Amino acid sequence: MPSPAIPLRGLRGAIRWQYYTAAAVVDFAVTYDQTRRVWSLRGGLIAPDAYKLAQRPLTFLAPTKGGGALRWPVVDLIVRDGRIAATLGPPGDTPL
Amino acid sequence: MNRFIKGDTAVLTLENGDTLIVKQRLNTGETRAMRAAILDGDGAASRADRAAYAVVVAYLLDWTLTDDGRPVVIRDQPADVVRSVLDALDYDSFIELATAIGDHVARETARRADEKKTPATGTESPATWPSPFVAAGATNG
Repeated sequence: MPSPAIPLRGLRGAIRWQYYTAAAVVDFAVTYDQTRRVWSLRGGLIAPDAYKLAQRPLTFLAPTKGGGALRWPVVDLIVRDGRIAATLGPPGDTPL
Repeated sequence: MNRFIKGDTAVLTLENGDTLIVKQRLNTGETRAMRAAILDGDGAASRADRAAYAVVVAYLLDWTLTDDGRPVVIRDQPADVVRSVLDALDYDSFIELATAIGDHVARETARRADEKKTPATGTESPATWPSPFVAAGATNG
């Protein structure tokens, strides 16, 4: 996975726990800090489920045009005022 | 005993070797959605399901339930948070809660009905209660 200096943006993604959707993430941006080697997620939340968001492990899914999805494990997250700020692990190695 | 459904799956193998991945168990939210789809939308069973859920949400303040040994906090949480926790319960546990709270509501209703049947006695009669206007030194007219 490349390390984009430009944020990867999307209209709608999802935070998943097991087969559940813990929340939809809208107007999101995923960025990679090359110095700290940390992926971050920012976006709006729709229909957040407090119980499921408190579970672990969580995965962030960003759908791709081909019908697949990019996946990042969620390392930690803060939910406030309908928005999410999360630290993500390396992408792509997390099964659905 | 953990009362919360953790999203486990099961693999079912068909005769020709194809496989299905299915949910091991449904949680309360999923069970309620399934029952709503099966039952007549406004039939008695459907209304009973909705009523039981509404009564639990209305009455429940706190509990000692744990999830993998950790307390599950619902006290002073917003209603949508409480609903998300209730929906994550296994359905048997939800029914256990709903039954306990329903029984409590029935007992309280019966107790209030008994109180209304009991006649007022002695100096506590409402008929002797002073008018607030008189007590405040004002006149009526």
